[in-house]
Amino acid sequence: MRCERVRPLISAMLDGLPAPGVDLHLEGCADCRQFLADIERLRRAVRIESAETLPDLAPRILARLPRRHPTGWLAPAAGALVGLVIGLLVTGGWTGPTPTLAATVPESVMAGQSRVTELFGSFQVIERIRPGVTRMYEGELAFRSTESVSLILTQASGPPGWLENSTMFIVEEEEALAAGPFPCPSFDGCEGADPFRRLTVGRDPFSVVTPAPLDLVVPVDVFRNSSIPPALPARVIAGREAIGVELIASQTRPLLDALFGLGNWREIHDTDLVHVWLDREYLVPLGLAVIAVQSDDRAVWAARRGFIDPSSTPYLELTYSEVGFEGGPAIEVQIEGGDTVVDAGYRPAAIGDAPVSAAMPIVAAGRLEGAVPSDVWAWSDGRAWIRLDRAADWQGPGLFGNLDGVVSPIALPGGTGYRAADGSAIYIHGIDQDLAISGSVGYEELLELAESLLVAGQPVPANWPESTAGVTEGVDLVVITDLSGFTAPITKKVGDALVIDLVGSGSRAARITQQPGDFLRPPFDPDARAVAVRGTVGRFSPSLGLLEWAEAGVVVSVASSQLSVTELIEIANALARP
Amino acid sequence: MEEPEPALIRAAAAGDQGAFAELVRAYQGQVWRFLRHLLGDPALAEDVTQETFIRVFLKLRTFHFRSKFSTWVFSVARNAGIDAIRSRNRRVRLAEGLVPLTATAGGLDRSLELETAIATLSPKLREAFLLVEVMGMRYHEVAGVLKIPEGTVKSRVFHARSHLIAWMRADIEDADEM
Repeated sequence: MRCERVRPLISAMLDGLPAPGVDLHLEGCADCRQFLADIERLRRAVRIESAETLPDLAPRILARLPRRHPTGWLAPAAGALVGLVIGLLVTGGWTGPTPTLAATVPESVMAGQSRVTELFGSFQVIERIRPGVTRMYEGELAFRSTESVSLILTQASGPPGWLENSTMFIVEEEEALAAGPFPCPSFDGCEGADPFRRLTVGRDPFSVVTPAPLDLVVPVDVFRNSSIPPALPARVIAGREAIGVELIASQTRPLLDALFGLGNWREIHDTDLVHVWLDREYLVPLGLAVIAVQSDDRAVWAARRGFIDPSSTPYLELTYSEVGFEGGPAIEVQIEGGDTVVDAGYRPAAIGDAPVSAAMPIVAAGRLEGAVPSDVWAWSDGRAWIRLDRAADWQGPGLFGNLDGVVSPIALPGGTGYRAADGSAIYIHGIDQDLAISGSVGYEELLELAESLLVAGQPVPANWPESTAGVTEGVDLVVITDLSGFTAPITKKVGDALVIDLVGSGSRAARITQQPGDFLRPPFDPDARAVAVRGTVGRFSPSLGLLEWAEAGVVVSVASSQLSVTELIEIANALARP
Repeated sequence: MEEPEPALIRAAAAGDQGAFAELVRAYQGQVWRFLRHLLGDPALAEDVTQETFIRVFLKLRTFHFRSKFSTWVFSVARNAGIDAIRSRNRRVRLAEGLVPLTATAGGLDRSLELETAIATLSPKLREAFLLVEVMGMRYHEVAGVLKIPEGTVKSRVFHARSHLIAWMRADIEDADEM
């Protein structure tokens, strides 16, 4: 072959294309060997020369993006190149919402919870009582799957004379240590508000009595059943890309309680806004801001507590400064002499004939002693977990393991089961055993375990509150509009009243009660006031979270301690006659 | 070249700015290097890189996963780059006497030398060469970006290399003569 014909082949060969016969030619041709050496040298030169770095253009590019409406595809010409407020990308500061979508956050949180097997980090908390009256905290969180968690909050500054509000909560295997002051609304001292240290031994896995603050790892309880939350601008927190969403405080309770459930913190109003920024990869909450939503009812609430909460500044803020996902510190419960010790009664046992959970490895088996002894099994992967409780001698009067939840019957291969309205548990009332299946995972995974057990589930006795015997007759008003953010309504008859329960994410819930009647009884709440609802005049009692009105021979109430009057009226307006 | 997760692209297409920022960070370096060589001007390349990603953002919903995402991004970058060259040429014609960037003299600085050599390539040869050498693209991917047959890519890359080698050799000889 001639050199002119070989050289294009040498060039292509350098780029990984087959070049038959070229090797042979190269052996005998010094010029072509030089050509190959030259183009290789050229490649090295281009690549070395190209390795220089460029400043991150992302903030500038984001600033130049046209604004979009959440549902549509934009953009009025005038708004096309409006710069977004992206100062926070650099400073990590707080800012108001801008319209973007974080449509996949709820499903990502549910699906991504097994991804985090370890987490550690430090963060700052700012707590504002009123302008100029602020407490600051340094926080440390460490988590290791399956259920080892350490949350330590140390007060760094605050008004003089106030009780120190430093808290500690550590869970490790069957031990848990909780330490901190008792709540004291006056902040500067209350009778019996001395700090306590309580050690729990014999703690059961994924205990409901001393729950590990797992929503700080991945906020599963917050986003279970969540509708798509409005998006906030992305932030970089602790060097991590964080996506922001706007929630309501009542929905965010599992996360807020995980942080502020222990100690002497200011109260959070259920209707306030909570901005949450989640690590894009691991869905760990890296930033949090609680912002007051002004309303007459909230003004009364704040005045009674001495809070002044301008909407311009979050009254609670959390921001991580460092975060890591592997190689964190050891977690151990440090016991001191004066600790109060409580035995929760759990005794681990050999994992023998455990039922098989399709989804995750089994991590614990044991027996929970107490008034009604039960067997306990737990499965876990990362932050995700499932627990099965079995009692042999349960007498009621209600489903075993169901503390106060709303349930609806479901069909299982062996008979009947009951599904918690929020999808977080399944209960089975068997002939000689009662079962409760609970977990952080989605309902489908719980159902898989429930179905694999093949227990002959029976309908509960008619005198248990979960019984649905007698419902369906006399329905006056039913919810027909799809209420975004709530699971399917659960209807039951209690005496002559028809009760409809609505369950949303977090602690959001409402109960609609209908009774025969033509007028409202005198109010219990001295702050009750008139409101317009369904074309008539109704009454709202702020301290009870109760909206009431009379309509066509029926007195209807919508009650919720977590929802605002606006949301209660929305629910009322969604009711319709069959 | 590593491809982003389809979910990330979809999130960005739905307007999620965090997701879009992640895409920008994944490709900005390569896009900028490509444009810098294509345009021969680092500062202009930075502007056109920004322009590229704004176009990407606006067109994201039309991306249907029929080609690789990186290929698609580079076609957008290439079009933005060509637009910039056209508008620069117009400006150069308007301001006669302005020294075009392509005429920057070679010097002792190796990178500047190479920069200058690449700038002397015709745009067609330059973009094919850059997509292969700087972006590490395969011929069939370059063919997709430039919408030309694979064989044409092969020959353009070969001619670009031959030209650059000759240019660099001449440069070495010049230096020897001094």
